[in-house]
Amino acid sequence: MIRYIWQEYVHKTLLSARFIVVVSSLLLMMIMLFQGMSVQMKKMGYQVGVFEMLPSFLFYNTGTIIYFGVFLFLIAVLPRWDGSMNEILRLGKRKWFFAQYIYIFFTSVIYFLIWTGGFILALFPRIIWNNEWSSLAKMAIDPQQSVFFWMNLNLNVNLQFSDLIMNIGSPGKVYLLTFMLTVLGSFFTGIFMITVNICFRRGVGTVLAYLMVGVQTMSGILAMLFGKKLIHFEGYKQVKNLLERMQYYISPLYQSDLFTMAIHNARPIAQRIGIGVIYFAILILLVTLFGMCMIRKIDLCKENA
Amino acid sequence: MVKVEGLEKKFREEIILTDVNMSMEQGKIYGLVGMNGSGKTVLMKCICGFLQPTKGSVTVDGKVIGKDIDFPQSLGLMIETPGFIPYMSGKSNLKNLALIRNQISDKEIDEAMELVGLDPKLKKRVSKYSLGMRQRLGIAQAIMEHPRLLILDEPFNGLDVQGVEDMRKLFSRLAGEGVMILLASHYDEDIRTLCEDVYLVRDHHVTKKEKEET
Repeated sequence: MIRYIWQEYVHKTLLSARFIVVVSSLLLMMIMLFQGMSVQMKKMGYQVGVFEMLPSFLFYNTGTIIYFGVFLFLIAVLPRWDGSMNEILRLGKRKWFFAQYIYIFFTSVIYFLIWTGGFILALFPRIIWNNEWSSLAKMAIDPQQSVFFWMNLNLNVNLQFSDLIMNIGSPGKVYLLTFMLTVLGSFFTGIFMITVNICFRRGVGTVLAYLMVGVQTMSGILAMLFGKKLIHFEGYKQVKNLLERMQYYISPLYQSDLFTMAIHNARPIAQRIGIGVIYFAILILLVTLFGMCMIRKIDLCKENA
Repeated sequence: MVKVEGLEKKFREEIILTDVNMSMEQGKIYGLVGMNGSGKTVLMKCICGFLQPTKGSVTVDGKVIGKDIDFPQSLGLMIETPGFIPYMSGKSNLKNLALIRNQISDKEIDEAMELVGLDPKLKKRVSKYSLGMRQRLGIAQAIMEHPRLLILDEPFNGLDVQGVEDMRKLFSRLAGEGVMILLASHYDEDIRTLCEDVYLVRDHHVTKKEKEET
């Protein structure tokens, strides 16, 4: 059965037009976006480590929306039940349901590997292939030097590094932790989306999952706007603080943001990476149990879509 | 044996079927007739276990679908167009599906294809198949694992005269071997020639018809 699921995955996901178009566009976008940075690095003699780009870029400002939003678009075709009755019949409801989860897990891992590959491709001449913090990372933790580097770039690209991040360990360790938390975060968002789509109405889960992605960024942006526009308002500080704190609670995806977790040392749930892992594990378990209980009781074809 | 008792199916507030009672036995062919949108496919999906009845039950060989089991244990199915992988050959598609249960050999897949008049050695992609060939492939996937219960929605669609004749002979043969077949068709002749009992789906109800009335 595993062989069958893998074959299906290759044929219906990896070789699908949607996947090929998204991946090609993503790689093209990354090459274009980082072209200026590559030139600037060459001019100033900086190099960047192979593991450093993913942790620092993905969660910077709108990184979350790009990263999780595109991932959700990739799996928005799930659940695949149209024309799949013959497969569902042979697999059984529960195995079919798990197969959908496996699709999401595979896609999540492959999608983030593509991001990693995209950074390497975009900055190839300036990449160093070792597991030590690079000259670019060391420069970027100093705000003055960092400003000098970024201000000469036309493109609105920025990277953040911090000694707090460096204190976690080597770039490889930071990359692996980010990769793990991000895969867990996207896996949770994906299974939440399709479980709601299967158990309730197709589309509801997709909207809720996108809200989950959007809310994390939006609450931060709202807090920022509120601070700028209403600075003379008497209670603005309290409201601004409230909005800033809300983002840590509203969106579970915050738990995948290793960078912000280290910088803000957010409380109470995001104090340690281990807590982030447990948090996701609990959410994944809850969604899975809910789906397993519901799957035998619901209509499994497009009439209820 | 398949028993449908007091079945009602609603989608939200819309009643599709109500008070459906049917009893079907092994080795017989049953027909399901009715206008487009009358609820034939919904009834078939309820019997298969893909749709849960709002009220009532479907029992196959003493087991209640949706309670004791998810799907009938030995079921071959062709409802709507099966989602074959378009750039693979017919045989590769069937082999892929057969991998799930891993019950049948390559030879049995070849036999099923030959039974429906397809050449197992044909390398042509499914996307290049005619409508009739796809229909035959759909029937081959339904019968390849030797099911005891066969549910077919419009199995003659897209088939030429010879194809229809071949399928009629095949279904009669399978029924002779003890397979229970439920088929829906718009064509009276199919029903008259093949089916022992015919059910008419109309105004949300299902009634048993004498063959002459169809």
